[in-house]
Amino acid sequence: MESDCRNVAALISDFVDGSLGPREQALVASHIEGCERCRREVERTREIVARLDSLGGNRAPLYLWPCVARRIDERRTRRSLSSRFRIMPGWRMVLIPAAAAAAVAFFLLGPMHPAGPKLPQSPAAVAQASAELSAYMQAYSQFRSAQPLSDRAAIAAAAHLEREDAPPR
Amino acid sequence: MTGCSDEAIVERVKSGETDAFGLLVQKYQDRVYSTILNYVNSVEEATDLAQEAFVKAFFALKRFQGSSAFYTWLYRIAVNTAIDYLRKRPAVRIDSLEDDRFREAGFEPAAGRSADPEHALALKEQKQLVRDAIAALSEKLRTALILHDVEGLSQEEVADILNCPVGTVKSRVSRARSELRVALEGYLDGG
Repeated sequence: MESDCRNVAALISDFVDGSLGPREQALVASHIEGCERCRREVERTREIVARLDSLGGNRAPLYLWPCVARRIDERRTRRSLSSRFRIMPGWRMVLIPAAAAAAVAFFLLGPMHPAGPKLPQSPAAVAQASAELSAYMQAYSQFRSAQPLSDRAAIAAAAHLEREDAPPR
Repeated sequence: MTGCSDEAIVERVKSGETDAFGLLVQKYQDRVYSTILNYVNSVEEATDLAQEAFVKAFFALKRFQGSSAFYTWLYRIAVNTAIDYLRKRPAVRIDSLEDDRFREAGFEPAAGRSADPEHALALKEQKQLVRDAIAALSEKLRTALILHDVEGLSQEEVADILNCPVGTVKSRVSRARSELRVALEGYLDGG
């Protein structure tokens, strides 16, 4: 009887759903007729299922579409702006020299860290390093004015912006 | 217009007709909202998350291949939105359902229940306690239970949404019911 109860317990959920095969359905039905404990389990399960069913079917408190549409618009605008900033040539032109200057500054000031390279030993070496930095910045600046769209990403960005700004046909 | 199939509407949206998405929102907003509400137990949060789920669905629509029904795909997004939110939200799990909490909410043991005029209010509070008991289930059991027993989807539909075998859904639903029986012990008619 105990093993019957264990077997039936595993089938109770499907029995309540009516999703057992005919033979198993009949087996459980027959068992619970004579077994008070399993019958109670079936009744409890039915009540649980009824209570759960009563939690469903909630109606949304308002018509969601206008709010959803507004969010879609906002997100589109945000995506468009962020994509422009990400590829805008001018933005890159600020960042690249800044990164180069930072790299040179790190090279010069690196010895402040105990493990870093040594400072130029003589005033002449410092002057030479400064001159190299100035020359680099000057060259970059000339290069930037002469060929502002010379790298691939910048060209792609310009094409993208042109397409977006083109008047509709 | 509203008689269009989901697939036809999806194609219209994909081809740039954004407003057609409103038809899908109108059709499924109650089901999406209701499912999410049963996760988060808050009308305000459920409304916000339902909107978010639709926005996610809109932007993901270009990747929707139609290998499953649109609504099961949408349910998947709704469930994931709710679960992601709950993972980030400070835990409000109910570790135990003490007898006092049940009694304070008017959730009397079945044996002592009477036809009280305040029964309707008590019923509402009892629903909340059942929701709390659901919230205490593990994520997998809770999801199977909400979709199958609360939202009334078939085991096959739940399996499709969760991308798992039907047998797994059966087993999770059975275990979830069993855990609820224990959690609500003494407060059910069968007890």
